Amino acid sequence: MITRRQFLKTATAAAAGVAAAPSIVTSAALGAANRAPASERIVVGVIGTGGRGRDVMRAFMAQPDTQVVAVCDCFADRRKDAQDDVNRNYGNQDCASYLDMFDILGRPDIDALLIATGDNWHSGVSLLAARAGKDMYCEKPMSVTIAESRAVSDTMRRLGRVFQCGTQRRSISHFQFAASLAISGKLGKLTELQAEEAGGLQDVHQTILPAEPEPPREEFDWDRWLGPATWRPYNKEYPSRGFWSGDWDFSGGSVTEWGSHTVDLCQWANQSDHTGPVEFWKEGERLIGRYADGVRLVIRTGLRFGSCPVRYEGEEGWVETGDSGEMDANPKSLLENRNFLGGYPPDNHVRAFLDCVITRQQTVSNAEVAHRSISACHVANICKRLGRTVKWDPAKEKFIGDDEANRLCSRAYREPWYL
Amino acid sequence: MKFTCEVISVAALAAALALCTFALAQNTAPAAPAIEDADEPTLIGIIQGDGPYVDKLKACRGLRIRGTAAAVPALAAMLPNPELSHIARYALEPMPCPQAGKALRDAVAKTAGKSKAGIAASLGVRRDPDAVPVLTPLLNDADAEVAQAAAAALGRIAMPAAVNALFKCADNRPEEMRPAAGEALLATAARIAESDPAAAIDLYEKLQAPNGPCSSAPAHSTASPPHSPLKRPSV
Repeated sequence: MITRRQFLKTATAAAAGVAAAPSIVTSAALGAANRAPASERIVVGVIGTGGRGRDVMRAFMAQPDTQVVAVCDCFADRRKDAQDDVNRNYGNQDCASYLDMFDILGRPDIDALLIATGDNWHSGVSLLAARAGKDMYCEKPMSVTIAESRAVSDTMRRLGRVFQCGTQRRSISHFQFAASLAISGKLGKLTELQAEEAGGLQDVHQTILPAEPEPPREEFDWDRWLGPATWRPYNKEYPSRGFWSGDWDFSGGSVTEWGSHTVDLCQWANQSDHTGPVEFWKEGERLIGRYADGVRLVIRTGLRFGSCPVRYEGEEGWVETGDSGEMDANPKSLLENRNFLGGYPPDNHVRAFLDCVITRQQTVSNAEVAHRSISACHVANICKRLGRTVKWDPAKEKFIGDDEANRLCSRAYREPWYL
Repeated sequence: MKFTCEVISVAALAAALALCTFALAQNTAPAAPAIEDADEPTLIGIIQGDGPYVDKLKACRGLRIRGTAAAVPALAAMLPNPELSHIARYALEPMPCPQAGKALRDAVAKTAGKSKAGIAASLGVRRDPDAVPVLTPLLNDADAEVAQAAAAALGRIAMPAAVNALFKCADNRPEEMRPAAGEALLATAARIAESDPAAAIDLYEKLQAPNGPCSSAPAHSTASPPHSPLKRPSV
C-alpha cells in the first residue's frame, strides 16, 4: 500500500526557530509533466541487475507513478551499470547501490521490489521481500523446486503481499487473443496444448567445476550468489548464464527457460490455473503431460513464429502463435483479419503489477498461478531426469507411489536461508 | 638393402598401428562412473572417508535420491560439522524413512548457530510432528536466527501444541520474534482450518486481538504480522 511520505523539507532556518524561509521545491518533487508527485509515487528497489533486470527496470522507470531508488547485485560492475542507468533516467545522482540485499530490504521507504536475480534465488528473495513488507515483481521461473514456489504462494497469501511473476506474455495482446479462443470455446473441446521449450540448450547437468581463487566480496559476493544452493569452491564459469541455466542446482534448463512462459500460457488456455497435469511421460524428445480432463500438454520444439510459441488444438479448430506476433489458425475465420505487433516487452505486465500494488487486487500472474505453471514444468523435468513416466496428484502436490520423484520436489536450503 | 628397407617399413607401420590402437583404446575407454551414480554402500564409504569435500557433496547428491536408512548413521555424523551439515541435510531432508527424522531431531542438541538453524528448517520441511518438543525450546534460543528458523518450522508443522509457545515468544521478544511467530501462527491457522475450523477461527481472532502479533495489520489485507527489519544473517 502506498503511504504518504513527507517529501518536502523545511530549510535549516526553521530549526533555529526563525520563520522558515521559503522552501525551494523541485519540479521533480511536485511532479513535472508526465510524472506523479513524489508523495504519490510507488518507490521501487531492484535486486538483480544483470541484463534482464536492467531491461525490466527500464519498464518500471518508464511509469509516471514509480521511482526506482536503489539497486543491488552480487557483481560490482552490474550494480554500477544499473545505478548509472537510474541516475541517467532521472537526471540526478540519487540512486543508491548496495552489495547486500538486506540493505535494500530494510529500507522502509521502498514499497516494492523488482527481483531479477538468477533463478536459484527467485523464491528465496521473494520470501525475504514478503517478510520485509514489500510487494514484488519476480522474474521467471518462480522457483527451482515445487516446494519453493508452494512456500512463496502460501506466504504471499498469508502476508497479503502483491506478487507478479515475470510471465509477461499474459499481458501481451496476441497471446491474450489466442488464449481467449481456447477459453471461449471457439476451438471446441480442447484436445492438445503444445508448449515450446528452449531448444538448443544443453541437457541439464549437475556439475562441480575446478576450484579457482575467489574474487574479493566487494567485486563479486560468491557466497551470496550461491544463496540456498550447496556450497562449492568458486569458479568464474558458474555465474555465466550459459552454465547456470543448465545446472539443476541453479535452474531447470530448457523446460523452465521457456516453459515458464509457454506452459503457463497452456495452463491459462486450459483454465488450469489452480491445478496441473496428472501424468508425464516421454515420447522421443517430447515430454507429454495429461490433465485430469484428458487434455494433453506437449512440451516440444519446432513450433512456428519465433520464441515461446504455443499451439492450442480443439475438436473444432486450432491456433498457433509466438513472439513474432504472427498467428495461424483453423478455421482462418477465427483470426478475423487481426494483426498483432511482435515482441514481448514487459511494460504492460509491469503496469498491471503497479496497478495491483495500488488496488491490492490479485495480479494476472499471481503467486498461485505462477506456482502451478512452474510446478507443471518441474513435474515434466522430474520425468525427464528419472527417464520414466511419473504420476502427479495436483491436489496433494505429491507424486503417487513414487518416493524417488517425491525426493526431487524440494531441496534443503543452505543455512541461514529457509523457506 | 631393399629387403632391409622393407622390413624397417613394415616394422614402422606395425609400431604406428600399435600406437594408434593404444590411443584409440584410451579415447574410447569407458569414463569413470559419476560418484552420484554409485551404489549406496559406495556412497556411504565416500562420506565416511577422508576424501575431499566435493566428493562428499557428490555422494550426498546420490543419497538424496536413493539413500535408505542404511545411510542415515553416516549422514548423521556429518550434521554437527558446520562444513558438512548442509550437504548431510541435503540427503536427509527428503528421505522418507523415520530414521532420517530422528537423526535430524537428535542433532539439534549437538549443534549451534547456523547449523542448528538449518536443522530446524529441515524438520519444518519434513513437517515432522515429533520435532515439536525439540523445536519449541529453540524459540528461546539466544541466537535469533535459530529462534526464527524454529518458528518457521513450527508454522510448517502446524501443531496446536506449539501455539502457546509461539504466542509467548512473540510477547517476550517482540522485536526479534513477533513477525516470525506471527507468520508461524498464521500458517498454523491456515493448515488446521480444514480439519478444525473453529480452532482456526479462534487462532485468527487471537492473532488480531489488541496486542496480538497481527493486531497492527492494515484493515485491507489479510491478517499479517507487522514486519520489522530482517535480521542480517551472520556470514
